[in-house]
Amino acid sequence: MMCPEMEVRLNEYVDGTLAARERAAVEAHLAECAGCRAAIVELRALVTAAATLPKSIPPKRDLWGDIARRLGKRERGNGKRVWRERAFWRRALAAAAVLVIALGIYRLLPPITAHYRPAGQGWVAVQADFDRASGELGRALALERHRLRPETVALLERNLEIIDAAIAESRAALARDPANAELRGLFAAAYRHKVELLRWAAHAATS
Amino acid sequence: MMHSDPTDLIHRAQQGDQSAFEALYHGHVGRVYALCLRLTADVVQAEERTQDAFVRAWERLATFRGESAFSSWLHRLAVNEVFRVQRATRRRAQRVFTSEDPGALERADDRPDAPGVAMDLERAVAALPPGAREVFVLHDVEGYRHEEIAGLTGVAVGTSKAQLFRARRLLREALNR
Amino acid sequence: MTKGACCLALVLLWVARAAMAQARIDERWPLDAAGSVRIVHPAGRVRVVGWDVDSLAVVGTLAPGAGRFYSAGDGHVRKLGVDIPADERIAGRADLVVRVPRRTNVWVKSATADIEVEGVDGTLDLTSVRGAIHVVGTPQDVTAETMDGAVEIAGGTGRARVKTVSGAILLRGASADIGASTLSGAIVVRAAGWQRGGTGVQRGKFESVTGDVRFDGELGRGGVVEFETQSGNIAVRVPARTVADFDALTIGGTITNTLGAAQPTPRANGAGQALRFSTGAGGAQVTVRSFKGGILLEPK
Repeated sequence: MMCPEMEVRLNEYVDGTLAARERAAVEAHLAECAGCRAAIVELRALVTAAATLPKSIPPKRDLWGDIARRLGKRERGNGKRVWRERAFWRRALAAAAVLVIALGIYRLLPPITAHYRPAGQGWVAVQADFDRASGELGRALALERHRLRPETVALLERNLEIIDAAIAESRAALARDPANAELRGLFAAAYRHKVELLRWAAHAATS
Repeated sequence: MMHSDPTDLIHRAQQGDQSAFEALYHGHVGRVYALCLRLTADVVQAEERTQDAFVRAWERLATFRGESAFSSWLHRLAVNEVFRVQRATRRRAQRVFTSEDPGALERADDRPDAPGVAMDLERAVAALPPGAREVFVLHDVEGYRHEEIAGLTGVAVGTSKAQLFRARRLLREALNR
Repeated sequence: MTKGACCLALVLLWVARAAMAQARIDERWPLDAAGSVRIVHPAGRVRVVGWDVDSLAVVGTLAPGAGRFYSAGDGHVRKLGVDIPADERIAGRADLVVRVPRRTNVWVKSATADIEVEGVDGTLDLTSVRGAIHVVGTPQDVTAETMDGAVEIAGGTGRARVKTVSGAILLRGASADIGASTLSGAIVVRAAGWQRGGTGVQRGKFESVTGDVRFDGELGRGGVVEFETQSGNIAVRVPARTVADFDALTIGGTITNTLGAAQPTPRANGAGQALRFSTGAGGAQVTVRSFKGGILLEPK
């Protein structure tokens, strides 16, 4: 049982907000009081448990539809626009492919000046994310390709060839030297370029 | 290449690109919903406040200048939405909700499966009196400082501390039962 | 010819000329000194020019088939542009000159139209699919993206981010924080140092797949500059007295260094060459990476 008059100080002790002298006083008390020692253990466990509760809980139902409708009301005042993003692009983004790239890759591959993580599960997952993202974007684009001008399609194909060749090259080099962090960085960069290109083309198709 | 990083999405959303905003929504909804659910201990309210927070974020995107992380900015909007509605509700009801609210525990069960201890803690948090619950969620779960909580909730720093310590006492009692 | 037939011919001629004639735009609205303008301009050319007047003025011409000019907004935000029918693939040319208060934030989106911005100090967000983008002045922040058009940013921006697929990128002037990314275009950076009003590049990131990257200019003290290509060559030319830590690596290319005595060595593990050297403490940090492009470090 905690000494009731110690409640505030024990909490502050656990939070690390006590000045050195007060901290020493609490520690002196703890040395003599088993009840407060037990309370400290419980408090620490509680604070740790609270801090490690899942930070993210997906809602049971999709909330975006209602949100989009409320945004839509504000948007309609802008007049009709040829440039309005089309539903397919929203779907492509909703698949969160781009976000996966944006967040996922940087979590695993800090800027080229930083220390790389060793090869492992994370890297395999990132490659899979890339494949999925470019696959999704590629399929979305295929549906809307007819909206692009022929010269844009030609440009796109030319650059897709370039980037696919670059990715194949890096992938082959990586297969030969899988632990090479620099190669992984370059491979990731090439893949980012591809995702960007597909994103761009999808944007252009909606223009 | 300058990828579609969160900054890029934010920038696009600021320019009125709803699809970019939708991507931001998908990237952040879990965090915002978790925050609202724990603050309100009510699924329906949590869903509504989550939606309010994103609508508010869309309206105010222009004011987001990047001084803080987008997520911090968004979470703050969510907390503000929760308290704005609660203040209004409390004024209307002319009373303060108490832990006797019988629905709180059941509603908390709507959460996804969590390991035993976490689940017990979630339930116990949901059953706290609102004031203590809010401070506990903001301080111990979300990591806000008392000064920030005071700013968000309109209570004094001392009150925030008192509510936190009370919440911890009630939680320890509940978990030891 | 009878008099009636003559009249009819004249009328027809007049109608035909009217149909061929370009529509002229000449409009003006008040706009706050730090307001915003959003312009949608599919084809042709749009020039946005900063002036010391608290109003927005648009003059220009719309060729037949260019669509309809529209504008809406208030003193804080004005939207304007050319609306073309959704099924219209090839839009006629529209040429607009939009004058805005200097501190205006400008957003422009175009399909094939070239975008030019001069003398605007606000934030610029410029996107074109195939048009060129040209910025001159000292905007606070520039984001420019085009698929195929060339991009040139000249002057001194606080921050610039440029992205193309195949368009060439030229960044010149006294900008502190610049980033350029392209797939197959070339990147050329000419960074002014303190003697031309700049601080050197404080933060730079230049990336391409096949395009060459050439940096010619001054590095800010303590600046962090990164170069990365797949097969494009990278040339870094900086003043001989530059104080910096250099870290270069290529897997399939070669490194040439005439900036200092240090010479590249084969990489300890695997193929390629690496070179690390420092010309003094507390300077810039330069990182150069290429998969198979050549790397050149030389004094200017």
